[in-house]
Amino acid sequence: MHLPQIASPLLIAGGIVLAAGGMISLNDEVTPLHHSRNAFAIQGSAYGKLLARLSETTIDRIWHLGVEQVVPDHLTGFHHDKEESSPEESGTRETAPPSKASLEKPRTPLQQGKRWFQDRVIALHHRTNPNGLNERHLATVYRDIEEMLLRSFKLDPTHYGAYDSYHLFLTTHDFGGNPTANAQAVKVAQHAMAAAYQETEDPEPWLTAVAAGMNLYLMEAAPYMKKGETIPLKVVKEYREKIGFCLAKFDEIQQKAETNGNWARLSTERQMEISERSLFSKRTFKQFDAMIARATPSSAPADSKGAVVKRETSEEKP
Amino acid sequence: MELYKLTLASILSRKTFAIFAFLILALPFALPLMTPWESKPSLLEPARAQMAWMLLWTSAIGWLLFQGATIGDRWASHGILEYFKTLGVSRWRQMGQLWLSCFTVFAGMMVLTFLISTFTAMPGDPLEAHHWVVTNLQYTLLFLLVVAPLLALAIALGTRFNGAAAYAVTIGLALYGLFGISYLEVFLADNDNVVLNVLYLVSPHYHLSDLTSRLVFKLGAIEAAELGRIVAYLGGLALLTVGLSYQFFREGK
Repeated sequence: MHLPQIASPLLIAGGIVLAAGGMISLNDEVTPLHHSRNAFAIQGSAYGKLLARLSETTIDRIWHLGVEQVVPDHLTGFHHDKEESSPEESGTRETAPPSKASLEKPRTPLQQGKRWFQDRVIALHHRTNPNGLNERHLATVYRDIEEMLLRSFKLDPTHYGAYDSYHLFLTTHDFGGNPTANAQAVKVAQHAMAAAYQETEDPEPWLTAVAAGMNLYLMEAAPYMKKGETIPLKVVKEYREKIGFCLAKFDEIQQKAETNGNWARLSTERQMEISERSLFSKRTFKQFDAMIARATPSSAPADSKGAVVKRETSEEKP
Repeated sequence: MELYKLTLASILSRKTFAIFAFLILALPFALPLMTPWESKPSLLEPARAQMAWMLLWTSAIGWLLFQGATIGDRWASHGILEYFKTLGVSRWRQMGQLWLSCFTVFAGMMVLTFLISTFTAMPGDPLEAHHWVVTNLQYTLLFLLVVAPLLALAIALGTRFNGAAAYAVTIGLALYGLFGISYLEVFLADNDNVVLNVLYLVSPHYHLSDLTSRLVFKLGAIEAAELGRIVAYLGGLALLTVGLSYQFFREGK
């Protein structure tokens, strides 16, 4: 037999032996054959951050069409946060498209042309079926939204929108919140905090960590508040320290970003958004001092102050 | 080497490689600027390396395997391989020359990727820089061990079946090995089915060659012993694939 003829079977046999040997030794290790589930390191990378932000529109669209059953705001081009206020109200909004009277009159032919297309898009998504989605259909919509929120959280766990909308979804009882979902919410909050703790350049993840810390505190305090008991001072102090650290880190990194020019590179809207959020976090944080001060001399009931904190955080609903 | 020259000339005259070469050259610099890097400029450099490698994988799966499959199909159908057989060019040599002609062009794309990933994203710290270069070299080696045998398989299947089938099989194998296995893993998490578990073990775990996360998160170079194991595993798969490719290769249709 000539070498060329037996070369192929030899290669096949040798290849199997080598691959099997390699695989067995790989399986000995702590990190064996398992897939990383993060092909090409998209999650957590710069592209992950981009995709997490881009997915917001998709989630928004499905939320509005499926759950609220109204035309998504980004399709109309007119954001309701300017005219309409709290997201709680939006659940009871009518199914009619936004009235044209409330919108600005287009002036130039260019604006009129754009408005024409926007009107067509609104009409395309306008619900004419008087019956809403049935319960089971709605349940699948919730599940889809949960999957999308989780995916976008994995893509960028430090992103405030990705974290907080997922947290609210998990903990709001109307949308399927239950003990399992609450356990998941705790895990998600811890993950968001851990992700932010590695940040030394971008101040924003520290605000996400503040939100996560506040959520963890509220979840831990909830059973006491429900029973009308005082929240143990130890818990309050622990979270005061954790959240205080995150806020201090935010200030420190934000200062640094202002000197090295990173802050100036953001648009004014983004700067204002971050500043407003940090102001809000600091205001909420002050409640801790008040609670500790009130609890230290006498054991006054803490649930009233806890309720203040809760009301304030619920304003953040996206 | 006449077959090599003929094939190379044919690939060069088709010019499709230029599209991928351009993308590899331009996108690693353009796409990172679309990410939210403004508040964190240190994202830019790893994103450049990440995009360069992602594009190299895309070119390998989208261009290289396709070239191999169509060249194998075309040369076998047109009787070119039969002609070279009558000149005394053995099957091994024919396969080798076809492989080399496709890979000559692709090697240029690999060099571009390596240069972009290594030198436009090098960390400032000397120790990290050393790790960075070593990781890129390791990545290149593992990438070769996956892509090179798949190209041989694409060529061989092209000569036996047709271009579309050969491409579909190799692209399917590559995508399954890189991504599909993770879905199988999820499925197997609470499933003791022997057949599926065996299928998992004998699947080509090409995802072991994906070192992108080591670059993006600056994890440093992979340890020598561990690299040895992965090289043995992927090298074994490579030999197996080349051996099988020879069995599939035939000169005429």
